[in-house]
Amino acid sequence: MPLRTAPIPRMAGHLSFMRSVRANFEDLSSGSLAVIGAPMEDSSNLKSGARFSPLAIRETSVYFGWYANPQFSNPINIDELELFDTSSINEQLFDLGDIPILGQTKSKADELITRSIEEVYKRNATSIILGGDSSIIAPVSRGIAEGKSAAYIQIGGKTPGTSNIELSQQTSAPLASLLASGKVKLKDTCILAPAENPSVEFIKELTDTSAKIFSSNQLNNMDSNEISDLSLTLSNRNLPVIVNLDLSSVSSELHGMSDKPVFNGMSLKLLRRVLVAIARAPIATLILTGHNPTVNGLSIVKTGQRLIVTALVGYLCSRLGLINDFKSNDN
Amino acid sequence: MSNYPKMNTVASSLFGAPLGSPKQLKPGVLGVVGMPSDWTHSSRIGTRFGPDALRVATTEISKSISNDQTELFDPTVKSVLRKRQDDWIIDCGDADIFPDSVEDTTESIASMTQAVTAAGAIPLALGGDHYNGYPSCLGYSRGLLDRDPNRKFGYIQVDGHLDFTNRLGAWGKYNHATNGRRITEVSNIIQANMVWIGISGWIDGGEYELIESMGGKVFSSQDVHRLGSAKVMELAIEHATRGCESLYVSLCIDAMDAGYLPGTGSIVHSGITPRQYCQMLDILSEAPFDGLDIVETCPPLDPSGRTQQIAGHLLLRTLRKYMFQTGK
Repeated sequence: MPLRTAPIPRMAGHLSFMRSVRANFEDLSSGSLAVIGAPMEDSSNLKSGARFSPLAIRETSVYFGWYANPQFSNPINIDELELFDTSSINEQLFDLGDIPILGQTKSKADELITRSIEEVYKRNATSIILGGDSSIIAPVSRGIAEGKSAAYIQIGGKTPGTSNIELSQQTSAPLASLLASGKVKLKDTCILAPAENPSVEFIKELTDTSAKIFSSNQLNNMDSNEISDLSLTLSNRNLPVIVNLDLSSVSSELHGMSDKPVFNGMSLKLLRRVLVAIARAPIATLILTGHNPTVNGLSIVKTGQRLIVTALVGYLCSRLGLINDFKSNDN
Repeated sequence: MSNYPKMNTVASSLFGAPLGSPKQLKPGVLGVVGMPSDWTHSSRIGTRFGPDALRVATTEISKSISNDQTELFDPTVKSVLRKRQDDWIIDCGDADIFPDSVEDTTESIASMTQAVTAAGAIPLALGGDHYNGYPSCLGYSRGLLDRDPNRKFGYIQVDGHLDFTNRLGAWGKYNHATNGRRITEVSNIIQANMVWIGISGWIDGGEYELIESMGGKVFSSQDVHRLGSAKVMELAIEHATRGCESLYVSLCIDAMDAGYLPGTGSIVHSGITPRQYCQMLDILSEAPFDGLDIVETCPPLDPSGRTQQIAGHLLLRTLRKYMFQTGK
């Protein structure tokens, strides 16, 4: 059905994330937040389309480009009623564009991803990676503190059946490849709201170490201090913290746009609470995965990208110190 | 009673209502006015297909609850519902829409709802994007004054957004983000009796302050979760009807969480659930509203078609008092 276009679409102009400034690697400095698109997906997936997610997320995010919208210059959260100034966003949040992986071989694409993340990391900036599916996690992680290990927080997504390196190669769970490569040690992992029930063997292996795993129900009953302690504990080990946020962490009835349907996942409110709590510790990279904007019939509905962006905006504003969201988080 | 079946109208109409004109309306009857206009939405359009989608959806609902039965039991209110045999609703068709002139479109819609209201009937306007709630309310306001020059009214807007911006970019003063603000400017509204329910996420702080300063009230979706949907609607009705006999209600379906209801132009998350929306409308259905609109049904944005089904059901809950006679 043809749709007319409005005179000047709200999505006109450069679709940078939240209307942030387009920048290059050399523009980044310590404390910067660098948004990077990684439009890649594993060709063995049952469904295709996650590679279109960076574009979809950016398009939706311009609704929140407050500082670029003179009609909406004093945003407040309706529940907190706390006015905050967004004018400094342009000094801290940058959009570097997409990694040029289109048409590349898998190994070349992986290399480009790794090199891009390295460039951000060595400037002491935090990268916000717009995936893509979970196949981007390994190359992104290699770009964080090359040659050193890292801590890993996984929100949603698959869990490996076992941490046994040989056996875990048989699963596509991203943690398996991180463990196999030695980039992440099991004791330095934290899994929140996994999208699949972990195997008994894996749970036992987790609990034998200091690793943590919490379901969405358990998270719902935790206060923000307990949740932030999870990331602070990992960060205090002097390890860079890699966070993977997979859309499958959120209940599917709220969006329907994850390839992995989950009906006991988190609400948007809980996800936002978790992200804000985690933001109390420095994070090396936040990798968004699991959003497929082309799921049959849902490509025009856009609930998934709106949900991700809404949660992410809360995180970013808190991370940038624009709002003191932490105290009100438990209300 | 005649023994031949009651024929459907030649075109779809709301709840299978007979087609007519505002001149045929009698006091207390609902007069349906379609507003198939969406070019005053700033991004995702398609609500111009909303009025017809609502007519189809409500006709289906009407068929499923009537057939030859005249008595039904409603477990929600634990009451027997007897379908009214008289014409409680007349579908007056769509207002003329002028895509090149917001002023002409505004006057076209307003003239219809004015005629409905002036006749003592209750305008029920079908959007369209939410801007059209303004011309609908404008005509209602004029119609009230036609009946009684001193008649004032309160206002309840169930919505995910305040729609209280004064101007919006290229769209100026007349678009789906300004309808609430424009309604404050009609002569016989009591600004302090304006209430918003279901607001989600970030809003403009200046607009919120302005609403508070004029005595209006805002209930967020979180308030609905926290206080309960029935309680919030009771408080809203109490606030909106202080010192006046008339109440206009604007039902924007986008107050509902997008996971349940994706087919609308400006979706929200952490919004209210269908159950909460229905519970609010069960309370509202007993309120003395005498003008209403339902807006932002956008069929092209929901391939599953459930959005118009939900919106039709919301109307059913709102209009129960008119559609049925109740009794034990």
